[in-house]
Amino acid sequence: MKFDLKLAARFLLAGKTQTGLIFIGIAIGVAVLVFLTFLISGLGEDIINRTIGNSPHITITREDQPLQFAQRNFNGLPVYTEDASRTTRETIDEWQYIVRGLENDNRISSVVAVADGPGFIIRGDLEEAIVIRGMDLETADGIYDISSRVVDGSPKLVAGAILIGTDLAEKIKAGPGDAVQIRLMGEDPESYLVGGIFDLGVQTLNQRWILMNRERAAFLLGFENGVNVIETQVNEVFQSQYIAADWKNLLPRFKVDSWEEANRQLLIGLRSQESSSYTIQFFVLLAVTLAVSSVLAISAIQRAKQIGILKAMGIRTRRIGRVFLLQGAVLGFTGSLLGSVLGVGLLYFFVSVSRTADGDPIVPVTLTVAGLAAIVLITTAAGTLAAYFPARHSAKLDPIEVIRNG
Amino acid sequence: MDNILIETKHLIKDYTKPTRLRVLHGIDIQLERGSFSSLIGASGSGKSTLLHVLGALDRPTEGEVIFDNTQISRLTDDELSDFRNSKVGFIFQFHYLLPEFSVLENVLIPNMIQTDTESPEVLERATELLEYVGVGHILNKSAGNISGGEQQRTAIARALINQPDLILADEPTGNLDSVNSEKVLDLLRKINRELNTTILLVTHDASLAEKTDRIIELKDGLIINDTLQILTQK
Repeated sequence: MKFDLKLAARFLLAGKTQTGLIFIGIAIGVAVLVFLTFLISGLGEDIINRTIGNSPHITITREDQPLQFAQRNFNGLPVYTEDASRTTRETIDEWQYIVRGLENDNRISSVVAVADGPGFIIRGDLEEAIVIRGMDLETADGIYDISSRVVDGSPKLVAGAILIGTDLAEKIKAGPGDAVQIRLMGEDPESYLVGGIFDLGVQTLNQRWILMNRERAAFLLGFENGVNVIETQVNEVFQSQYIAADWKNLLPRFKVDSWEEANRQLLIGLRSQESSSYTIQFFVLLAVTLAVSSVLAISAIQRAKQIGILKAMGIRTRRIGRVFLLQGAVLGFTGSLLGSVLGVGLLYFFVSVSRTADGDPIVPVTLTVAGLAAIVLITTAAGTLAAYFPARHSAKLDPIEVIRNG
Repeated sequence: MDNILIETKHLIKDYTKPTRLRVLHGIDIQLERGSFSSLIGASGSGKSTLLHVLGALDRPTEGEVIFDNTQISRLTDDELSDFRNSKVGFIFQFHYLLPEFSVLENVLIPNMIQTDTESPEVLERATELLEYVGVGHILNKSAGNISGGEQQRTAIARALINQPDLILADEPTGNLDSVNSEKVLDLLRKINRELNTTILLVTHDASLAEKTDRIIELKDGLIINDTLQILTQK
């Protein structure tokens, strides 16, 4: 093997221009590969993070009951109203048991039990439709990171205090310390104190959500001590539909929805982006493979004399083949190492020049050693594979042909 | 019988491409250990083909080649490769050094094929051999940058590195001027005498053949003359 490697290296070094050109060719191909692979995966991760980074990945509710049409009394007359604002208000009585089960599932990172329902907030003459969200702040931070997103006032949910979003605060002109009233449809209003104002970075949430203590919300919504929604985040976001399916099996009478089902279009977009990345990767690799193959095919013809004499001197056929496979592997490996360095340099350059007004990179790129190693490995394998036909051609060479013809 | 290094029994060689052609028509030949013989004949007489079959570069169509009591025509391809590497040293008309390697490395190649290492003993032997053939002063020169005579001497040193029993030389002086031809022949004679290596020399130059101990003449694939020379030097 040592001698085979030496032969491979000498054959490569003997054709300096040829080897140099193919080496640069591989390096450029791999640099493009590295650049695009990490850029596209960074882009995908960024989109996912922006979309679902601070929202539940799996949501558990009761199966829809015919509650969407609720019967209410209006001035003594029965009126059917469509509860179009949000989910069913059927409570999950065994929620504590389910939450404990979810917390024990090591695929799940955060679990939040929520008493959730529609209502109205009133301040003076201003009235706005809202979504009442009752939850424990410590657990809720696991998904929504509310504590650090309170921009005014105090991030505490003591009984009687609520947190409202920035847009809602502007609309009803309320700030920390102001009194507001909250009422459910057809019921009397109750008074609360605005404890703080949050900015969750999503306008609809900043407009509609009011956060309060879970027990208080449950009481207000008539859930006794129950909740009607359990929200979770998982460690591997693309596993959420499988995890959801597992929990659906455990909880057949519940609706278990994953973000993937709710964001089909986004996922299709991400998948097509991913497949375009694979297409580019495939064709770059194909170009590298063909280039290595053609260069080694020429090299095999150029070295026919040497191969013939080596065979006459007793080198085994298999070893001659191996010398060419090694040349392919050496070209693939060294070319992809240089290409990786170039690609990483290109990425650093791109990230450093394309920044938002705040100075953050437009696309946050995460380089992984494993990713780079995979690219080097695949390119080395492609180079070796590319050498297969030249190797076979050389191995078959009859030394007598060479000796006879000079 | 023990004194016979290599012999053939009714050796027939046919070529099938481009058309079927019988090149050797049943050759029976014996070479004694330590002998220095020449094989002469016109172009197309089959002398190179016979040399290739004797050196296990080619397989006979029929008949046997027995080397040191081993039927080499029955060996596998890998066994034949190993046989060529350890038992036979080839010297060709066109020298065929590997230009990617230095003079010294070229001499080491047959040993590297065998052992995959460069032991100090072999390195020393290679240096000695290069001194012996008279090119000790160009050890580290690239094999592509030396004269034809130097290349052929290096090729001879290379043929000797694995201490083969048999040296097969196919027109080794064919590409050299008369002075260098003379030197190469003298060198082969010296090797034959001092190292007791069996040598078979293919040539179409009758005056060169005259200097060997035995002249075997081929015509149309048959031995037509086999003369043992009584040389005054002997």
